[in-house]
Amino acid sequence: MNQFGFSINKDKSIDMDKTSQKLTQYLTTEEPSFNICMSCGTCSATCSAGNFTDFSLRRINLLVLRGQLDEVRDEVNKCMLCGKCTLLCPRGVNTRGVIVAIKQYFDKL
Amino acid sequence: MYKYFLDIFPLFTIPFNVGLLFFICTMIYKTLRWTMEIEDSQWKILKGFLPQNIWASVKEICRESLLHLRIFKQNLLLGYMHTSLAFGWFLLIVFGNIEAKIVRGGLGTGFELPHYPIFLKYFATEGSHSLPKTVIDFSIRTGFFDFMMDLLLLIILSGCCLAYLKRFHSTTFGMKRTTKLRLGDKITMGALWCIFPARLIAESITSGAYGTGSFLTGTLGNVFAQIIPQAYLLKSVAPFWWIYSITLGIFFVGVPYSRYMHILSEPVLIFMRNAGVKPSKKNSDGFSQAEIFSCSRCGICVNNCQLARATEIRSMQPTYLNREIRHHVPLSQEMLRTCLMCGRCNVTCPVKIDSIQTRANERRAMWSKHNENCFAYLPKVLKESAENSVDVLYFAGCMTHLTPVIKNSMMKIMRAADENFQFLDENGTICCGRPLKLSGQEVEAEQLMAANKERIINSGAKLLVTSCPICYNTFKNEYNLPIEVVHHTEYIQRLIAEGKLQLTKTDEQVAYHDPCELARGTHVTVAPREVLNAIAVLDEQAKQKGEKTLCCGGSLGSTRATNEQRQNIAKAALRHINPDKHTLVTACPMCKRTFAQVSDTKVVDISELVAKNIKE
Ligand code: SF4
Ligand code: SF4
Ligand code: SF4
Ligand code: SF4
Repeated sequence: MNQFGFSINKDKSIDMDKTSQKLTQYLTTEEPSFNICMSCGTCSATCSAGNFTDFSLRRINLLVLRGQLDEVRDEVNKCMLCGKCTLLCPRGVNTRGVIVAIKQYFDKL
Repeated sequence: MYKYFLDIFPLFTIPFNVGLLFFICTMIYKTLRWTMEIEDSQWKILKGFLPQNIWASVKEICRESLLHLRIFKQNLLLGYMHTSLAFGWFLLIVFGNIEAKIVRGGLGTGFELPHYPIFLKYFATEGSHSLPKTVIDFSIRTGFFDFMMDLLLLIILSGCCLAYLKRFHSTTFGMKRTTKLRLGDKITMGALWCIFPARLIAESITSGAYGTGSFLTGTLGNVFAQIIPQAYLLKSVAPFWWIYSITLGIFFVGVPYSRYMHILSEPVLIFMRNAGVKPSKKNSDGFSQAEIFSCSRCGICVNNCQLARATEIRSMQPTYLNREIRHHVPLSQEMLRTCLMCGRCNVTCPVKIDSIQTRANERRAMWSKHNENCFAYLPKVLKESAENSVDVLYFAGCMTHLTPVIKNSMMKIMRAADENFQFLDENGTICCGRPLKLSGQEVEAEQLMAANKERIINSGAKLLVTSCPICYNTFKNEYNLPIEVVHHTEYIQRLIAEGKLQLTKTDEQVAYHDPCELARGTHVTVAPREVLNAIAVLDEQAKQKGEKTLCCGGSLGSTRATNEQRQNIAKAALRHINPDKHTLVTACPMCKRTFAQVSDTKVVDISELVAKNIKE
């Protein structure tokens, strides 16, 4: 089936027992610019890591907002911290700051 | 017995002597402890005793601990303030000792106790029962030493006045502000401020009471003698010497608990440096500790930091970093992550403290977990066959891909020069690793470095050309590559010199900005200027250039500076670099983008200008 590029989507429903808003709260104090992201995806389009894998900062931001932290934990390590996204973000989100803050959050857990 | 003791140590000298003893013990203890804690190799310290190293240390200690020449380079008045206090005090001690020797009747009289020259005026008059009368008369009649002592005291007092002025009106010294103080600093500084006025009054009253003293103490003494009856004057001699002794005592005891600790640590640090001791990667290392304690909190770094000048961030500069580490205060995220790591503080620090290293150590300590395999997604390298190998490897870097005009220009230049080259990261860049490293995540950075290194070596090229100074610095200084690495400015200069590239000179006026990674990080300042002179007219207005160059504000060293703060830094830097609004030329894709956002005039990379002016 895969050879046609089709697959069955994974269940996208969010299990409220497994999500947590802790990281969103942490980012709101540690890197407030996180909250002005408008999910435009410019960061993902330019991403150095995204050139080699399906890593996307926009998705990370969404996962954090949804509270799906288990999916963020390892994913965020794929970022090279190169800073292209910071220079391009139309909203002026300090994207590298967001990433380092997320990493610090998991590091201190 | 008690009487005999009092003869040698009159009661009023006790505060001074106790303070001095404490001071000397601290010095010995700290020096030993730092030496024991050197992680590099403790035995290296012995190298410091080689004649040439001792000589170098003595020279540097005289130049920096006494004369403060590097502070003079910052600001004349500030330099004078430090020199008058340090060198003036030193000379006062030297002359005091010589005078004491003469009063005692020449060299053959043996060892003097330290308080004797310090309170000489007192002993020469009040305590005169212990001195032969003729000798005193001799000393007083010569007058020369009295004159010198008064002159030195005057110089020191002028330094004190400047210090008071600096505390309350720092702009006189070309400084935006002075540093904030801790309690220990306040007490010790208060004592220091009082020492010399106290000495002046004590000496003047003594001079007034006994009719001695030179132009300063003598004159002031006469004034006192005019207004205060002789009996009272005689009675007040001792109390004022008490005050002088107590201020000295407080100062000496306060030194280890205050920023004046640098008086003790700086010579030790200079000695260690000349012995060739290298800092380790931990701030608990003896060498790093000596550095941290040597920070005098002069505030010169705050004054030179662009974050302090262009934004309101004035609490994370090296002076505060060193203070917090020294007093074991937990470092805030702002302290750790805001710094641009631009290195301007390092080159302007009069003590030459490597605060970038100190902060990098603290950043490394921020992380308790490491990810050993976070870049497994990078494609495997296909081994190239030997025939495909090229001479030159071009690495654009992440940032250059955001400013494609730079890589296109480089392609054009390399083709025009008929070079046999390969574009390493044409289809996707692996970051050089420096941003991760700067954020303290060294284990992660090393994985990126290994991936790049494999690709570079595999290409078989003999020369690696980069467009981004950040990559350049990293490849050159951290990768240990078996091939030569050059920045594209050096590469273009080489092509011109070899006659491979023919350029036309235009009369376009341009201003040049030294990218901080390039000029300060790797000392490339001549090549870009030579290239520019070959194609345009360079009109350099910026005073802060070369190793003192400004950061554009885009620096990857900071993960906390906001977009707005970065733009403010860029605007302020632009006003300095390009006041006449020429075309601004730079040699870093990041500078180009950052400046382009706030500049009224065109901002171009040097390669663009070269590519435009290639002779057809
Ligand atoms: S570019 Fe900026 S605003 Fe757009 S998705 Fe990324 S972080 Fe959000
Ligand atoms: S910093 Fe990370 S998220 Fe941003 S472009 Fe670079 S690799 Fe992508
Ligand atoms: S780090 Fe250097 S410049 Fe900064 S306060 Fe300390 S001694 Fe002065
Ligand atoms: S490295 Fe630059 S930004 Fe950081 S404290 Fe020094 S001068 Fe300021």
